[in-house]
Amino acid sequence: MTTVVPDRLTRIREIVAENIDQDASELSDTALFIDELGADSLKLIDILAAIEMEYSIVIDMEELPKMVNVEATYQVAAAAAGW
Amino acid sequence: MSTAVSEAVAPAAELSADQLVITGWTALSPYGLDRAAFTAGLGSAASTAVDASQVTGTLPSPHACLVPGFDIKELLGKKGTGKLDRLSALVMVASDQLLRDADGEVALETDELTGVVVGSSMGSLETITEGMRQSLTNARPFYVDAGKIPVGTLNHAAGACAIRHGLKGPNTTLGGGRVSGLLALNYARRLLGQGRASSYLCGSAEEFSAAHAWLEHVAVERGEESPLLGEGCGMFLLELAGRAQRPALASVLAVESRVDIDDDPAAAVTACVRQALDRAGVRAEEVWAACPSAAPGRSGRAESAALDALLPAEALDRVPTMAHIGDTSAAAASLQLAAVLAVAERDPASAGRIALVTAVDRDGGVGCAVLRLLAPAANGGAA
Repeated sequence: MTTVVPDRLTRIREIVAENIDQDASELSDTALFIDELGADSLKLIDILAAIEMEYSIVIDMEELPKMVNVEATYQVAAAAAGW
Repeated sequence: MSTAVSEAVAPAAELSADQLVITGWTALSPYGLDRAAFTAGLGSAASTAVDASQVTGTLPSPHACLVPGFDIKELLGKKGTGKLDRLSALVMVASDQLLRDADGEVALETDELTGVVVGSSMGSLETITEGMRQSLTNARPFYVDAGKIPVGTLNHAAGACAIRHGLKGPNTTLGGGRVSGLLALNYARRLLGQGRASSYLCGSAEEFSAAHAWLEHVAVERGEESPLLGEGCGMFLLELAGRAQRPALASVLAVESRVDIDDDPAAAVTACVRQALDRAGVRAEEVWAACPSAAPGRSGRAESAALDALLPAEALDRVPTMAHIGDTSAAAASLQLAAVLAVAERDPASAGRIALVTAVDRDGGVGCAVLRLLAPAANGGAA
């Protein structure tokens, strides 16, 4: 159980990196997608959809504004998946 | 100083100000990544087929003619290219070559009315079919790669190209199979003529993919073999002679198209070529160089037969066959046009002569462009 959280966080970091053209190894969990990493709202939808597909979950679109960085995105996914 | 070459050159000053001229061209093709590689490859007449199944996985036939060394991230950078389709990337690299110099600096002044028109068959088939596959096979229909949805739209290549270079003029995508390149040329001709655009990036492109190969495999006409497929992009800079920024390489005298509704492609090609020559005000005997599409199957054979009957034999021998780069589908007519310009550049005798490009598609589309070749490009066109 103790390794599940880091593994899921790592995978979400990879998904984010893939969708905003960053290296996962260089991506900080607190860097802001829009203000610091140059993403736009369309990219956030891409990230949301990719996480939904990865974990076979459904995330309410209203959660989108909360997904400001990797850490917050993980929390949104965790809430949707019941982790 | 008077030399035979300079006497043969038809100076751009003789052109009327509203004459459509081609002032730059480039070609990404199975011969290589740029115009120099295309010109060299045309001369070598070597086959470019490789085992594409190593890249794409199982194919109906393993061989295809791919643009060698086409690494999207290497050519366009990492930013914004993670989900980019091969088709858009081909168009974007071609536009870079026309609008930027070797150092990446802007090489041509564009303005609010610089347009983009791209001919395509169906956009990026690989992107579209993969999205469809995900939707049908994943647990829920909306479990698809959302980042690839805009990429999979038919007009993504033209839009991405305009965004990359800040081009705000008319932005258009035309789907017309092998005739696409000529339809795009005619579209740009009309809009430039009506003052809707000041200059145009005009071309057509095709990507090779497993999806494309399988689709062609099932669509092939009864009794015909699956074609050897190719890919590439031919792109041109079009301006009006009166305000052209670069030396004119050729003037576009006429572009005609029609649909073969009688299932008689030879008759349709003949009529189309006659009409184009008539519009251009030149006789068939004056044609110095002609480049047919060499399309696979019945339509391509009909095209060849029609041109053989209409044009001087030496004109048809002057441009190397396009068969060595495979069936490049929507890219074909633009690459043929590029081939004509490549041949003209290397032959001073081309100046002032007439060239002709034809295209046929199995769906019935037929097209013909008539050009007057101008000076060999000592300093015009793309690097």
